[in-house]
Amino acid sequence: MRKIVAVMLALVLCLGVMPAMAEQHEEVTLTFGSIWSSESEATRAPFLKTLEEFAEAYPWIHVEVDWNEANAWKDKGDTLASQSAMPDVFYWNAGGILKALVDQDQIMPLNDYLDDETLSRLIDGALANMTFDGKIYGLPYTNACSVLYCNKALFEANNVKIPETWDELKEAVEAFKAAGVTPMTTGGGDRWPTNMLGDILLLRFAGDEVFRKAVFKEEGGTFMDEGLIAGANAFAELVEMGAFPDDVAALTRDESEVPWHEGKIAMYVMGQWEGGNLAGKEDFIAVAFPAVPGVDSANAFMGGPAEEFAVAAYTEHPEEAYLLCQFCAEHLSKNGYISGAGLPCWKADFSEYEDQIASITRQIVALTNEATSFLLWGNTALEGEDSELLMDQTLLLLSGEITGEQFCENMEAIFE
Amino acid sequence: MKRILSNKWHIMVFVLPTVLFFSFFVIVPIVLSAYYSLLNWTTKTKPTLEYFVGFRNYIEMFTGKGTSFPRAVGHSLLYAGASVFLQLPFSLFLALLLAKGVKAEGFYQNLYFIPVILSSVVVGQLWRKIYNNDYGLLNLFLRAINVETPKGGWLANKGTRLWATFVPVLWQYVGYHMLLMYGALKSISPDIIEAATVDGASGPTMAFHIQIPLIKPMLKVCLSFSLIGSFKLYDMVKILTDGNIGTEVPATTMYREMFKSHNFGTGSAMAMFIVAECLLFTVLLNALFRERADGRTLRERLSGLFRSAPDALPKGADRP
Amino acid sequence: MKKRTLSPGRVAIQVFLILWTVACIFPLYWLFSFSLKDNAEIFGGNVVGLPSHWIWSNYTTAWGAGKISLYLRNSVITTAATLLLTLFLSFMSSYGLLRMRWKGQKATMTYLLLGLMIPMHAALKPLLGILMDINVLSTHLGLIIPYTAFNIPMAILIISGFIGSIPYEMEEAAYIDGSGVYRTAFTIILPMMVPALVTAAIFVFLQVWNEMLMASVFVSTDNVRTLTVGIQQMFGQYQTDWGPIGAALVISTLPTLILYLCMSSQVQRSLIAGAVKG
Repeated sequence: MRKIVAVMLALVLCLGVMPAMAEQHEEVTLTFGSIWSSESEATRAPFLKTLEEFAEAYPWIHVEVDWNEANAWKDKGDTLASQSAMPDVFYWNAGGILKALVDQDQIMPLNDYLDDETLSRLIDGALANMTFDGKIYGLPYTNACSVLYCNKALFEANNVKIPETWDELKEAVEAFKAAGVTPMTTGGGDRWPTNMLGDILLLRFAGDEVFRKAVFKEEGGTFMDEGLIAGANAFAELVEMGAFPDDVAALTRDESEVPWHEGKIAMYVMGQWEGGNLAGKEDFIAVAFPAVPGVDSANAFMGGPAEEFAVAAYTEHPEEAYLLCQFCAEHLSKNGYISGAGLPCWKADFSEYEDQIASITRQIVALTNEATSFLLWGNTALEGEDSELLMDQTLLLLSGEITGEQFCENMEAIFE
Repeated sequence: MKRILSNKWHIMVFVLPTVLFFSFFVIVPIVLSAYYSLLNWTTKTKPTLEYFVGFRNYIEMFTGKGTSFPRAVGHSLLYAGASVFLQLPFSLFLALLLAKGVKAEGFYQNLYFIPVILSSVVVGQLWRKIYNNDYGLLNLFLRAINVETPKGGWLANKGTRLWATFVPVLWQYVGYHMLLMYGALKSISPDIIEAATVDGASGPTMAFHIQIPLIKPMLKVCLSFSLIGSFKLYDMVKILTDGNIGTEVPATTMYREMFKSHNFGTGSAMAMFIVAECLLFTVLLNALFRERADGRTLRERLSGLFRSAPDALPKGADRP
Repeated sequence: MKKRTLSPGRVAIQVFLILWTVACIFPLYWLFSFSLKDNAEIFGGNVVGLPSHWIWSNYTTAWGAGKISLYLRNSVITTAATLLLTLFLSFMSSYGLLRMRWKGQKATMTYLLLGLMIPMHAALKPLLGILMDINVLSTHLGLIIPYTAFNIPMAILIISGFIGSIPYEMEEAAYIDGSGVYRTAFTIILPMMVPALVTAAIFVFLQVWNEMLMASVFVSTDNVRTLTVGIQQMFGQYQTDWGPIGAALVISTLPTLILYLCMSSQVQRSLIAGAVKG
């Protein structure tokens, strides 16, 4: 009898606990706005791997991914945000673009969910571009920076020294011009690739502090600064020298990169993700953009964690959405680095993957280890129409329609 | 019959669903856009009356610092001019040639419409390749005949970029206008043409005195399509130059203002301006054609001619 | 009239017509050869020529990995439904507007034709809100509804132009025979309107099949996404394979082309027939 009672009791307990367990692991479906729709995206495979790992760790949380092309996603995201219809978790840029969504109350602050242990796994300053008024609006999955990629084979074949200073860069441009090789390229038609080049020139000539104040419109910020004018003039000088393909202002980024990947162009300023495309091609190396003597900016970098996963403010499952967001950010940081798609921004032990990591990626990590500062790209740091103005003015520099002085004068409009 | 066709219930069933559907999904959004255009709506504000600013956005889009909207409007007017004075006459010329009964008329007519059915992506990418600086067809040809190619490439050179953006659109829709005109020309009774031929009309005389006057209603349709199309121009510009400086048109500028600069108020004002521009040109066009067309439709005029043909033809055809 | 001599004028006309023909069909040739090349050839010296290696795998890449098969299905569903709905509504309202007698006919017609002047970009933002409120975003209806609404004016313009050409005697006879208004409209008038409906269908088809803006903003899942946007997505953020994009463009162009080549003769026949009937 006692036995029977015990069994019955056990059964009742089980029955009582079962719904509780079921409630705890209630099936939840979350939507995820992602940008790696193309098979050729370097980040696609590591992201898929991350999703698989998530599905294993949290089998009751189902993820529906909305794949987008990056540019299309920015447009679509803006539109969705204006209707408060963002997916539960989504890819977004940090900085001014993120601020715009925060201002529209689209994004959930993660402070309540993030514990100190989790935060301590992030690299220093990782959240700088996604924290506003002390609230953290998203988690980064990659560190980013732009570097100068060089086609070493072309440098050797034409007996040109890899440039370490601005003057050497100009010499290299002259030497390649003389040899009939296009020295540099950029996708002017898409505007943002050109800004990567413009930003690093402004940074080298003006230094981190001055440029930072200008693009974040801080107290005392101005574009009418000798260093910034010199940087813009340096850009104009490169254009004047014929450093770029003749039709560079019309080329899209896709188009501009084709001859570069074919080994017909000597130098290219791009983000670290280009390393993923160049992995395994031994001809290519990554170096820090040439220094400007007399300016303390040789190891200053443009970039820093600038891409993140965010949680929609109105998600129906905030806890699960946070889990997904945090898990994907940390795991994609690792998977992306191992596959050569990005630099890590969460601390992890990579020693066992040393062989898997492309040499060009290790070169970039070595460069960033020496970094003195990271400054968010100008068109990301600035918001809305200011960002548009910077991109337009840089394009005008590239097409040789304005001088460095005019560039800075026109940019000064953002302070009005 | 009159009773059936005046039955209120019948009229409601036939017309009301369309009117409601159209109102709800076309007119209401436009009215909302008009409302937004009066607000200072940015990422920092909400679309409520609290931010009502009257016509400030309309003034700002023309006089604001660094605004490219006036330039964009100028470009669209240029395009409209090119469309009316180059594209339509060329389409008409083709239509007249074909309608005259050349060999393989149907074959040509079929093929000339092909560019119209291609998507902007296809046509845009094709033209980007044609314009390419190094290996594009255009530059290969110019180099072969020793003509200098524009510095910076067709789509970026200050002097060529605007026209290089327009030409593909003009080219693409020649077939569209031609089809409409050709259709109208073919619907002219052979009796009329026959009679005119007997009276000695041929070639240009026939075209200018008989055919063109008879298809005037269709020409008006073509004109309004091309004018309105010029203000709505978007896809091809987006693909060819992304509406970058020097090639902006109202729709691309509006898109950037709205979705890149996040100035929803000013963006809506630009949208309303485009709508107003289209309305204005339609009204102008109607006024222009009403005077000449005497209020009669193509069908009425044609059937009028049938009854009195062929003796009334030579002088009656162009002056009803 | 029928007997033609080979005069210089005629030769010149033919040469001119043939040149324009080449200008019009060159894109098709270019697109086809583009779809079988790799990046190096597309962006190299071989823009015009046939591919040196015919890379048919571009098609399998596009069809499978590029999900073109799915996008094609979505485009077919969206376009077909839009066509049916647009033609039905436009025919009904054209009949009501042109054949029935009531006050405000002209005003209503003008009101509907206003739509021809409204660029849909102008309505994009508010329209998104409305579609969200009626809960159709990211469904096929989310595209079918705005597509239909924005194509109604064009379809009415075409259809009403043709309705006028049908003599009233047809209806008079029908009504005298005791036929009701619906039967008359759908069994007497509608069959005579086929040429007009086909013409309208072609125009609407082209609008819908190639539409990009709404399709990219109103749809956020692959299960609904249409071809043009699907292809646009193949332009990657970081590196793009152009060959499969070319293949995808061919796949998206073929239905349009085949459909047009079949229907165009009907459009012409109907236009000529209409003229003969007077």
